[in-house]
Amino acid sequence: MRVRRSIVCLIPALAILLAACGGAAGGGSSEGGGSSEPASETAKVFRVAYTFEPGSLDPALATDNAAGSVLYHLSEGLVRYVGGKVVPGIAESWDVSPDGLTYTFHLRDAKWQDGQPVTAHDFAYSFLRLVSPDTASPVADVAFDIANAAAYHAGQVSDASQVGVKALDAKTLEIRLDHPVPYFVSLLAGQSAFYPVRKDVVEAAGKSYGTDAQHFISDGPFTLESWQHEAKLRLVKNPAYWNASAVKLDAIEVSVVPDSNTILNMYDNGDIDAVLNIPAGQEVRYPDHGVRWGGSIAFLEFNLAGKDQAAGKLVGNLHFREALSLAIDRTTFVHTAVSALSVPTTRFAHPTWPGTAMPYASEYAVPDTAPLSGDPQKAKGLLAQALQETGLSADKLPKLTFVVFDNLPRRTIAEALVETWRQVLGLQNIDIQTLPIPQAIQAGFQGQFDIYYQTMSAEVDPYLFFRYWTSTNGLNWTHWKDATYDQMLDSANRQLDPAARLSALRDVEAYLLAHGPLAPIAYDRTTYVVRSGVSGLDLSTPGPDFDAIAADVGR
Amino acid sequence: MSYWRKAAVTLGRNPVAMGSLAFIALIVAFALVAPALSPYRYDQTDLLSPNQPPSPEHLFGTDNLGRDLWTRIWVGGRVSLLVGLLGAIVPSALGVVVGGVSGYMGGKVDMVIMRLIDVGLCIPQLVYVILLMIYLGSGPFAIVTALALTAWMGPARTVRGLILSLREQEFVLAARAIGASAWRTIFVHLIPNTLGIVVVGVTMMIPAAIFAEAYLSFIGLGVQPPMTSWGQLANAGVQTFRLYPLQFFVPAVFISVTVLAFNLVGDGLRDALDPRLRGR
Amino acid sequence: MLRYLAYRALISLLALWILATASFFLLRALPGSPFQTEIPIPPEIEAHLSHYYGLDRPLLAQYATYLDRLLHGDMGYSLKYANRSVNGIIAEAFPVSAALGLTAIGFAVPVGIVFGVVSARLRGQAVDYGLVALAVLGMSVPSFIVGAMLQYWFGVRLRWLPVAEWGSPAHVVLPAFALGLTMIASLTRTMRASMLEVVEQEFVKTARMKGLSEWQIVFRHELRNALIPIVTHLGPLVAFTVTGSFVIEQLFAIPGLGRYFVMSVTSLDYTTAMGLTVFLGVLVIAFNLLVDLAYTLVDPRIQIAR
Repeated sequence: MRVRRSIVCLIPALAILLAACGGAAGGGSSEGGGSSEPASETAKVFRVAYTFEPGSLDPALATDNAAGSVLYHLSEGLVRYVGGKVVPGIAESWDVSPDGLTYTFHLRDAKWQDGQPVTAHDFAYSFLRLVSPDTASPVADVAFDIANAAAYHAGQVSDASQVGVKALDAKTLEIRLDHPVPYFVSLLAGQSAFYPVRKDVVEAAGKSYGTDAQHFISDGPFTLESWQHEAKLRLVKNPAYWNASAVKLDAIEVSVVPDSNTILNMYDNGDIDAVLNIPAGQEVRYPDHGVRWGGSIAFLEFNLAGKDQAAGKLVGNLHFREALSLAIDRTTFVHTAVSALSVPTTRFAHPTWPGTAMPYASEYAVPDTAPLSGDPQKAKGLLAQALQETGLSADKLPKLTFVVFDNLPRRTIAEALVETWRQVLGLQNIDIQTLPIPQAIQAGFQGQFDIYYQTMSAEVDPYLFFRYWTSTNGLNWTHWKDATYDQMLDSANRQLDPAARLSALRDVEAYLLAHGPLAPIAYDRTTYVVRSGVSGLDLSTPGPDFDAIAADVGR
Repeated sequence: MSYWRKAAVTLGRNPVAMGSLAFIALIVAFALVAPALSPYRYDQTDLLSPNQPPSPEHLFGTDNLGRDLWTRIWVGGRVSLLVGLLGAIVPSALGVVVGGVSGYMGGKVDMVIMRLIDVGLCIPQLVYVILLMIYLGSGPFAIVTALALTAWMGPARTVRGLILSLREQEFVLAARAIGASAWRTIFVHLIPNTLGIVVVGVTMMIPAAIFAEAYLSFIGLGVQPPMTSWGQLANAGVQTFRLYPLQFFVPAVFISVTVLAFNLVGDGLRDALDPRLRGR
Repeated sequence: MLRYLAYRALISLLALWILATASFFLLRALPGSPFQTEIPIPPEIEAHLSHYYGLDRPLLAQYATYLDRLLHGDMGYSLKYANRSVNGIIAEAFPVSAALGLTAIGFAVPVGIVFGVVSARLRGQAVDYGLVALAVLGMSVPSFIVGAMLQYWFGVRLRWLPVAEWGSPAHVVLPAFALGLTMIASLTRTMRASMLEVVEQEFVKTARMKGLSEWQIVFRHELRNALIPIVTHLGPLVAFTVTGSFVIEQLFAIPGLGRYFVMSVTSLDYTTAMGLTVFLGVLVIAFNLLVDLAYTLVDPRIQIAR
């Protein structure tokens, strides 16, 4: 009975002891922010928040929007998107061979942040590294248009010099393509994977390149000053940037704030200068909000083979799928269940896709597209037709599984659609299955679904979207295999004349709409709000979510 | 009078507990009957009149798809009450048995069970839940199973701690001295003496179980849509709470008041079941 | 005592091995690929990544590699955060979660115990009902709602404290309070119930007959015994609280471990999820050892060492 000290005293003592340790460590990391605090009083800082942090700032490993936007400000590629247009970056000019297969880029005098020149070798090294099997890049396929790149990645070609990327000298880069790619320069501007990296820095960093501020080198408008994981990235102006005089900001701070309501609260409080993506419905609280394209297309995918044989019999029927699609009053549905600002569609023609004179969507119309408000009468007729063709009776339909991601917005969308089909067509056989993202995608690949709500990046050209539905594409999990479609798409993409090519692609689109396994739903638009006093901020640029290179912050 | 009859009489004399019990009965009755009397189905959308304020047609207004919140509250209540009750009772019962045995036996058995519980507690609950949902399908019973598999360890630890101290007391030593078997000692002498704390524990687990369901729903593993629950409704409501506060406050109040009632009943039960407190 | 500790250490190692094994096989039983995000990547790229990370090897071979690495204290690299080591993630995020969690525990435990004691001593009086009502309310509102309300009122409306983020002491207040509230509520109730059990026992009556003052009875006799269930709770509570809360860290944008726990499981980041599980295991086992030792302090009659 010697130990008489009460446990009550012990626990807080322990807590204080450990808190002191924790506090010391926490203090260490916050000191960096603290020391820069006095400077930011006078400095021009643009502050913004993302709901997740960049997975990696290694251009070959960066896949998410946050990484894309941060790299856009840290790096300079051959070309760059400014205000939705491709402008020269490190490449002052470029030539394209008449057959559309060889691109030659002429580089300007530009420097890395440590003063060394940016050379064609840096680009060649970066592009080869991207497609090298040893890099394990999740985005290697963006470079597969380059001659032999896909074969090198797959290990069929082991000699890197066979890949169509070559530095002719320090200032000249030659890229040979496998086939003509009319939008190749847009691709170079829009994909983070095409930024240069420097061999000595990458090799010194080993695996750590792009994981923190110490293991990164910049050739762009800003440099990475600090990166506190899951908290904040701080970018400061790069005096070595070739166009540094165009940069007015002293710093950009990107906070990681996972909850989007918290982001709104921070904006209301003046902790950040802009909200890049206001959650649907909340934009009404900000009368001066702006609207822009979110860059993706939402649509329904049908599994023609069905989750099981009975379901396949029904979903495999074209008229049944048409009935489901026509039953939807897209105008009401999209504005209520998706977002008030998304644009309903019955086509696959993203408004940002360029045509020859005006956007593809308006220049190349598809005749006989379904009405946006749907057609309940026609839908009922099609359903009756489908039942007759399949020999199924309306009261004994097989169960259909509608797979969606597990978040609240997707849940709402699925509930509204299933109820629409019930109200318009009297269908009661469609069950919703919500799954976490990896399991939902697994269900897609394994055909464990009948209907799938899909959103895909619109990218820069119709072909990039249409190629997914060819019979050999790995992402075509609909079991729709149509030789006519494959042949039409292939020959359309071989057209060298832009107008003839787009016209042929329009025919491909019409065929996909009439016969394919998809039902278009909407082009998403997002809303943003920017604090007054911030000028020159561009939120329309394809690629990054924001372009603050020319931005200025008034006080 | 038997132990349990005495307990029932004691409970019957407690107006707060009986009032709460009546309230719970009322909620259960409404959950069972109200949806059938409503002119709307709980999943019936009206995309042209979303987010309506309360009116004679829609007592609690409508949600973002124009669904009648009154009907949804009662249908959601079925799921929440079922998950809350079973999700608290099943794991507690399991925990009492394991904790009782572990605490009484002591030594190696105790050591092994406690270390297994340490292990079990460390594996993220999500792993079990996702596995169960994917292989059992998702419905209220899968959720209860998942909760039972993960939540029994807390009560087991508590009961084991209590038994460790109780088993050295005179009445236990006396029972063993007159030749009571181990099982009899555990279930007749030891466990009844822990019931007070266990009952309080159960009442504490009901909200936890209701919230666990909401949390799971939030990450996609709760009841499948279009089925709903109070947690789901609160979860959806909190997203737009600054625009439509009612869509959040209605389910939140239902959760809180029901949980309050369960707690008050729990307190009454505790008094009634405790052999030493009774009769004052 | 020394022999007992050595025995416990051995058992603990065994438990950790079971934990590592169970979490490895349970996680790998989940369907899906860790490399798939919202917009799916082509199967050929996915296959390449699987090969690169060795996920296409036989499961038992992967298990052997994993155990071998673990024995050397290496938890491998995250599959989600390209080329960040799990050890590095823990080293960066744990101090944050620990500082927040200990602040919450530091005020919640004393407050909860005092509330429980007061409530039990003044049983049936207005103060008791008030405290019980408070405790019930604290448990009736889930932390994501409490957090959101605190953030809205004290951050946005009153502007007393920062809305979110991490760095200064002011940033700790709201999340620690949100974390501590539910703890206070459950501690108050447990403590009250436990005190009421103890009050009726013989030694308390004896003490009263000996003429000790009420406060002496509370502190010298009742409290020690009533603390047993609290102490049982405290081991895992501390271990779990210092490793972070998903909801609070998510809401207040705190770069702690709690978010990694959930995100690594839902995104199938096997290495991170397993590393965190083992790390949590070490903490839980250590704190439970402390709890068992604490029992002997609170109640000398309990003998665990034999």
